[in-house]
Amino acid sequence: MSKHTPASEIEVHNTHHVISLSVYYRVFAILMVLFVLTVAAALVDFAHLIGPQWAWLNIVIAMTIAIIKAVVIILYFMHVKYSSRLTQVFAVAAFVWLGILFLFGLTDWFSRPMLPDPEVWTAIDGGS
Amino acid sequence: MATKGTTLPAGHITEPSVQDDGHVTSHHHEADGHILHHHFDDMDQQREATTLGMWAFLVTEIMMFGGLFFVYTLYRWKFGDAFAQASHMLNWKWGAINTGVLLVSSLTMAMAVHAAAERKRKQLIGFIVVTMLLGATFLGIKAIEWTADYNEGLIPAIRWDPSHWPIDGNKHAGAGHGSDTHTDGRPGTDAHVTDGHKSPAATMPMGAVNSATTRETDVGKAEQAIDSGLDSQLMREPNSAHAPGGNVGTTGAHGAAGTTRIEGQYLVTPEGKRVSTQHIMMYFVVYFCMTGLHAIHMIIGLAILTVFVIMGSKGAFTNGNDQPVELVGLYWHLVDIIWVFLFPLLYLIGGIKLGGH
Repeated sequence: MSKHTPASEIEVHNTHHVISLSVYYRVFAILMVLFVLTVAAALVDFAHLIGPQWAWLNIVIAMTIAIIKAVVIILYFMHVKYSSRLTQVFAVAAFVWLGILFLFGLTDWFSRPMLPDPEVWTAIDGGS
Repeated sequence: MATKGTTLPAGHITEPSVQDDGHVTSHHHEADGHILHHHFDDMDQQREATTLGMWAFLVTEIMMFGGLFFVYTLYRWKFGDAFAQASHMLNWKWGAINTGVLLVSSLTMAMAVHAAAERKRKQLIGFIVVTMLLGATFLGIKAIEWTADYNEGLIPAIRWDPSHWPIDGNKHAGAGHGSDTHTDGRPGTDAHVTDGHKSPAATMPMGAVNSATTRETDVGKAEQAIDSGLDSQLMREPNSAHAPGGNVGTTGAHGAAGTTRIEGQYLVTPEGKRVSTQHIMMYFVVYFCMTGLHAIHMIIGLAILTVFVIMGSKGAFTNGNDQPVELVGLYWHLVDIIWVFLFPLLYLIGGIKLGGH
């Protein structure tokens, strides 16, 4: 990844490679714009504006913006864009595991009503 | 030197002082203040391993908060209306200010990391101190919010009192609110209403006790049965929300109709939607667990930064040994990321109004 990093993002001081401050300023500006967007989107009630079937838009927009903010912070403030491939794998792994937690947890949650009532089982077994 | 000139090293932010001698005979190789420990081949490897170790810790942090986010997801799915109503009782503007404060602190933290790498001691100390001030501001605002939550009876198990909640119905009810809101005169809830009147003072945190005891009784079940009946009635007459049915002639001086108000164990919206206060309690349990754990992380971050100011002012991180600052920066940014998700999930889910609470 870092092999393709534009040289402008990295300052070279006596062979010292440091991420340029201008990158941080730009990232901060993006974060503030996204923050204002989050609040602005929450002020809009999509269910009321375009119909109740669009109520999910609010949460989807809010979460999309939050994820973009998180990715920007991780890539630039946390230097993952400029880190070694192994560090990048670690960073991604955290969210893959989080995805597993949500995927399997929610699968369990939503499939529970599909199972027969345990009381029915005992009735079939004759209560053994 | 492999890293000399404009050629970028493969994925490393490299120390300037590292000599590519490759023949370290002693156990420690010192390049300025940066010590190469004997179990590493060179400074690059050491730096890489250290960063990786920090990330391994951050992964566990993400998983820990992830568990709470998962709990939030389940309960929000189950009690969506209650979560939306509950989030209205927080002041989203405090949450928004805190989001801004943390984002700025992330910038100053990044600049502190930059200053350390540049070996600028005064800048480093300055940026760390500013970061700490912003972190303290965040915690101060959180303290203001939690104090308000306490006064408004929004803290489960500590002070839980629906009659003090920041909803319109409570404002209209005036000083004696609380017990007034119980007198909706719905059939079948007489015992509960009496119960409400019997409570010596509406200002006491009796609401919690009342609802707890009532919940155990048949009255509670009867009430729920009637509620479901009422709900179906409401669905048949969507335009006349709660005027018909059990609520007829009950508003009186309480000004209940058209406001969000407490009726027994339920919060009733102006649209007539009935939301269990027990479900709202679940929101606040999740709210305090998540913001509390986040605040603990902020306090730990401030403690570490305090040590860093002391060590840094002696030049400990501006002699080539800048990596500790980078690592605490990683921690600080992660705590910021947690808040980036907490803010919309806790404060904005019910929709907000500019003039609103």
